[in-house]
Amino acid sequence: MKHIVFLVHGMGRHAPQAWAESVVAKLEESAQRYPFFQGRSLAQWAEFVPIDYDERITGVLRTWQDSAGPVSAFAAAQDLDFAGGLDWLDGIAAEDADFYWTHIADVVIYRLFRLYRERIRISVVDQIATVLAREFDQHGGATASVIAHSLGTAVTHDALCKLGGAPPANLPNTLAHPHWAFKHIFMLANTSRVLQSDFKAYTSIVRPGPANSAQAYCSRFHSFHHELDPFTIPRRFAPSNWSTLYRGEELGHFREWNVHGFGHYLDNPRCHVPILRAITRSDAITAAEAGRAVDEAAYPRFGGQFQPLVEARAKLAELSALRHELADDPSLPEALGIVSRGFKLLREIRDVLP
Amino acid sequence: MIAPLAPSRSRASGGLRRALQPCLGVILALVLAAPFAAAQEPEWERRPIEYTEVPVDQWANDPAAQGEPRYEAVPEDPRYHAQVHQRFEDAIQEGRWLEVIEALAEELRQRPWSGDPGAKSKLQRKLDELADALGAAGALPGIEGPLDTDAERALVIGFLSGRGLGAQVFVPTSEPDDADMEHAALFGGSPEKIAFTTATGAGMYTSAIPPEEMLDLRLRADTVRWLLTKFNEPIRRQHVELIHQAERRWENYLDRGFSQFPWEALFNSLVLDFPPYDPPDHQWILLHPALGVEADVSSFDELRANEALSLEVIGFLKYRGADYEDFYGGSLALTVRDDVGPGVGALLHLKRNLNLGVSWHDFDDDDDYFDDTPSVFFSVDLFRFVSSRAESLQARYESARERLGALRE
Repeated sequence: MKHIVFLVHGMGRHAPQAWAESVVAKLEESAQRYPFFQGRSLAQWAEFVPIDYDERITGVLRTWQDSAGPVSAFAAAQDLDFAGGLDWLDGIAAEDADFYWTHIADVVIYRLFRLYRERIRISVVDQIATVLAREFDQHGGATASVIAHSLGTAVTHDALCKLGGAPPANLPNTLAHPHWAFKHIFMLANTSRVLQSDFKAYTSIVRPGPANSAQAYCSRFHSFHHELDPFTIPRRFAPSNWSTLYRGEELGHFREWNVHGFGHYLDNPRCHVPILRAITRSDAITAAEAGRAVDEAAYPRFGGQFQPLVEARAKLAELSALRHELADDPSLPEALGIVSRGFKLLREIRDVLP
Repeated sequence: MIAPLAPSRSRASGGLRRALQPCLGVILALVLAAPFAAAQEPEWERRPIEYTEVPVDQWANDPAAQGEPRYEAVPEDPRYHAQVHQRFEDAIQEGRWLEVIEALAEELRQRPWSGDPGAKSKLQRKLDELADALGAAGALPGIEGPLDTDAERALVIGFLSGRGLGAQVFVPTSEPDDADMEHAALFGGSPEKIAFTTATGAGMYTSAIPPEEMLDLRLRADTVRWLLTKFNEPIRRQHVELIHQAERRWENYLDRGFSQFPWEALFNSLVLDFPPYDPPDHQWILLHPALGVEADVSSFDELRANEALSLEVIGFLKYRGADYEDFYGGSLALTVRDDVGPGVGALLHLKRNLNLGVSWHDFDDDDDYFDDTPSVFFSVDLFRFVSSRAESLQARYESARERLGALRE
């Protein structure tokens, strides 16, 4: 019986399977930084299960687009007064639609349209329940955790409130405490408070706690926020009165321009160490190894796409230091030497900047 | 620091042992050096995590993957759930669950315990509490004798939930310490907590319970978890089936139902009430434009069809079928076409993709819509259906007219 790890994507278009494969690849790559995992695949311990809801949102856009198309064409042909009134729906489901329709619309649809929100929640609940039912049938139990990102954190929060809440037909809920619960919940770029509606992020059952508590639905809860992630700055998720079973981490690394990206969060040891431990063994990465991994020397604040910035800053510091090398009344050769070195540094800065 | 859980069965032959003798000095040196090596950078294999955290079924089903030969005995262990299931098969089949739990509680009571008696007594109290709760549930209205119906199980599960008792209670959980180490425990977060490990610095874990008794606790707790999960099975299946049904209904309601423009979806989102899982079984139509075909049917001989735009101003749909696979309803509508001014009328949604409406246009421009022959509005799908049968319908109409004429003569 493997640990089931549900992966829930964020906003934007997500090709089925491919997005989850890239998340797993990032976790595998991160794992290889630690001795325990070398030569081993995470598949030895975990089965990663992608939870897709993107199609539900794209389907809505497609319906709007397809319904409006013939009407717009007819209205234009007849030169009707409202011709052009539905043109804004043209092309909204296209792969190359603009950022508003591929990303922001996901959030707007989820937050404002209760019909679609409920439909997405039930779709996610159904995907999770299907896998859990399979595990119960095959193994007499299920060990499961969730790693969710961005809009997926809000979707996950709401879907788990449904799954762990009172079922219809007066059935007792055997998929909730004290009968069953998730092991770990990891929320990356947690938007569950920004997008909360009927289920409130701080007071819902989606929080850690003992199995005999009906007000908890997991053993451990982890939330990650990047200091400059624009999606998590407003109404940041930071409960103050949760138990020590909750861990909130602020990340401050820069590896790519999209600091909000799923992979960018996972790249940081503060984020992937607890995940790797949770889905394998607590001691897979020792406290000493984890300490070394987050050390500035091993994992500097800037890297990747931001590497030129590091080099440019170092050279700017050198340039600044040159000012202090000049005597009050330097000789011409000294002055020329400094000017020459300064100009060389400026050219080097030009070369490292993209 | 950590003794093996059970003596592993030696498979080395005498010959092999003799062959190994020259190496004994080297092995002895390695053993003596091991504590010093461990103090520097402990090897993960030496830690007790595998018997505090790893699910019992992994010990039993895949001992080789755990790298622990001592788990080979687990599948035959009388405390392992598969063995318990076999021992109490009749009682389980007949719904005499209380008997099973009482027997397991009694077995634990009889078990000698050399380590901290606290751990055993905490598990004992939990088993006794479970047995008491099952006994009390037997007196609930609606329960008679063994728990052999789904309704009785649902009642008992609800009763146990109210007392904080269920399968998950018997699953070990972990808690972090200040040194970034995870510690597994049973009944964590409650006064009955049984801590499995403590930290000794330098990233080392120490078992808080002697390994044999650790194994005992894990096997017994896991068996209770397994039994309670088994007890829940029919109710869990009903629950999951309700979720599947809700998914099918949502699919039919939104993906295959009557499409909604953004303003309609927003309006319906605001005014409709939803059950916990299912979509609403009805839907408002509001300013919904669609293309169709309008026909003047004053005479079959002069059937004229025109492409037309309908605007359903306000309407209502009701979904039917176990999975909401169909719907019906009606609306008040305006129709627009190129050869005459706008019309007013009503549209019926007979079933999925099948609309039929009637509208009046002011053909004679006398400002009276209703003194002209009405037109019939079809959805595109219905028009295709009618067109494909137009010839046979025309033939039937002609034949009926001829027969009527002959009768009159």
